[in-house]
Amino acid sequence: MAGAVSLKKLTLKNPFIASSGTCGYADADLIPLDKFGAAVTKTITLLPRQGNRPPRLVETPAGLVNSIGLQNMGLEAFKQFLTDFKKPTTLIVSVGGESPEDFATIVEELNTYDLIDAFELNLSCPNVKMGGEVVGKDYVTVSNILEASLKSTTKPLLVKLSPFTEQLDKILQHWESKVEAFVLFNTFPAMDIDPRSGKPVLGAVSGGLSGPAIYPIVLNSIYKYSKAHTLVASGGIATTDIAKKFIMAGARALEIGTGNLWNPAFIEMLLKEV
Amino acid sequence: MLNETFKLEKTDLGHYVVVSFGPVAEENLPQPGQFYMFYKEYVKKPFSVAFLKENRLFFIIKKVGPFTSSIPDEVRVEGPYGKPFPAVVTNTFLISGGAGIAPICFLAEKLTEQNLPFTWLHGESKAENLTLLDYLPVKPNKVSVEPTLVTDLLPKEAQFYCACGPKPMLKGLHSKWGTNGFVSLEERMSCGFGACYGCVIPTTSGYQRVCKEGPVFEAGELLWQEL
Repeated sequence: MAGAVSLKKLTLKNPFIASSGTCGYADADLIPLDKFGAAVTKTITLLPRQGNRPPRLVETPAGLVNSIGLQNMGLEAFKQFLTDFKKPTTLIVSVGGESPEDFATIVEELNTYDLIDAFELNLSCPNVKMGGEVVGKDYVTVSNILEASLKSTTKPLLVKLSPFTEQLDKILQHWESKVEAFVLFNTFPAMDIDPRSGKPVLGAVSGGLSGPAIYPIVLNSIYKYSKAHTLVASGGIATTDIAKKFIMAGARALEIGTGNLWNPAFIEMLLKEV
Repeated sequence: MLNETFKLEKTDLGHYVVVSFGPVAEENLPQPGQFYMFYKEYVKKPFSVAFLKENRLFFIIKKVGPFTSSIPDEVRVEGPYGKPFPAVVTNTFLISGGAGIAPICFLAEKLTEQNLPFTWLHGESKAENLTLLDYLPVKPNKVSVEPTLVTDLLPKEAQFYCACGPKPMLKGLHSKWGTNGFVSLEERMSCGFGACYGCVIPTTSGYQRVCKEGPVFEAGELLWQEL
């Protein structure tokens, strides 16, 4: 049975992390979050966001495309929420923004909250000014966000990258010693079309693909980079067998997302079988 | 809460399949309007309960996609989830269309048990779909078949209502009778228990989750022009 794991500064009681967007603000009541090594909140942005217009979901073979659009209460309301929040396990706050300053402001303002153990920078946020491209598009944009964020917090930073981040080798190499871990990857850009209407199914047209459909692609990257880097695997870990493969490939910890949505008791199977 | 695997009994009626499993323990029994998630190999779908028989749950499922056209023999079931219809309503109009018949049938069954009077109107797209009615413990008072719509059967004067059906039907009902009632909505869901925010609909207090704040909403809460 999987025991405690260490990233760098962070030690988790087991390698399973409830991923951002699948456990509310680490307060989803039906998922036993206390059994996870850590839980990552929904991505917090400076201002509240109502999210994308529905439909927000479409199933594809062995996968799920979602376009929630970072619906969240915003930084100020989140601070209020934290005042009487009892965290179920190690608490990682996911942070999003459109600019390095957004990220820096949020981690700085939350830095004094003792119950937050780490931040996860969501570098797949769309940058509206850049035509919806992800904010962490390449080495320069990722570096600008990491520099600004590292200056603004003393807490460990996990960096969740988009699978299509350019210059990934260079990013991992340059920032490995300065961040807690890289989370590979966020969902894959995706869409679907309703064959009857010929129109996109999702209200926002595009979303992100999760679920077992993507795991072999993510596994390939984890295997490739895990010897030199501290990696958290994320992508399609919806069976205990897939979880084992990621540990064999060298991931230090595993983010579980769609697997929790499909079965809120999935963590119990992981703890028993992996 | 139920989270276990059941063998399903299925009766294929062409357009619909009547599916059942059980018995389930008393504490896992649903209220009208509540639903269960069926999961099998990376597909999870919500289905509303249509009626109970000795703690066995019956569902009326319309064949619309790969999952519903070929329902597995065994599924993992979670539930009951969601907010039900109000427990006691009297002199209400029950309005259902197509697969929306499921939660309305269950509500009709409960009202009958309590001797609460109601009038139930149901709409179908084709006459052959009406064979379904033979399987129900309670029958609608009036049925329409297209081109007649269930909303064509509504008395002129607005009445209190509980409704479930396709969005055009609900919109038709709303435009004729206004907001004095409750509607049960359908949306695609991935979790069913409020974690993913995937099944939201526009309401007067922002986007609300159909699985958690719904599926039953007060008609006055919904932003009808955006639905």
